[in-house]
Amino acid sequence: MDRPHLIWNNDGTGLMMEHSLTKVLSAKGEKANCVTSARRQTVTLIGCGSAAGVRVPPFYIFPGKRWKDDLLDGSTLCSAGTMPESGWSKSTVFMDYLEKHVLLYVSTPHPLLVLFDGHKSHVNLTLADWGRKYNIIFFVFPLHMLPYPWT
Amino acid sequence: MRLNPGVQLNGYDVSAISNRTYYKGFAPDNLISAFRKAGISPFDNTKITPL
Repeated sequence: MDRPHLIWNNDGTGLMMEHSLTKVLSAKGEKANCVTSARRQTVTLIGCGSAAGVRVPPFYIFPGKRWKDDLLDGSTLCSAGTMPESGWSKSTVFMDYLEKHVLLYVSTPHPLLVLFDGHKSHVNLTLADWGRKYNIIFFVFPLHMLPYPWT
Repeated sequence: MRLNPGVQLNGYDVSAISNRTYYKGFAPDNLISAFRKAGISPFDNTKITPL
């Protein structure tokens, strides 16, 4: 409890590529400019920060099949992303994220406490077993009980 | 976005746009006070009260 650098919170958010349609004001007879893309695409952003004020670079989950490094253009160099193949469960992506991304920035001989909210269904028994291997303890928040800024 | 009305966003823009916001939101300041407010670190068991 007196080791804030070992307590991490973790949450994801969906970033929608297009805004929802609203009313557009335009001259009569003009075509209203309100563009939304045809395909609904949501990119998920996972963030992780510790009680000591340290954060891991953003991690993106893109929809699609073929990964291109261009997707991360303009972001911090150390940010990363993945394109889960269909059939991957949420917990697989989550484990992948922790192993290949978070653990790059957090290395400690002490066990790590990772907090996250449970409604994303990435919780299962495999995760707990997997965490034991990497010296990670998971704590799942009850639904929608995350404090600011993770609400 | 305000400067480029009508421009469509695609997957290649997301990371560039969200990156700055991410680091702003996840400022050390914010992280520490959030953990404090929740009573997680420093630990404060008076934060959880019965309904």
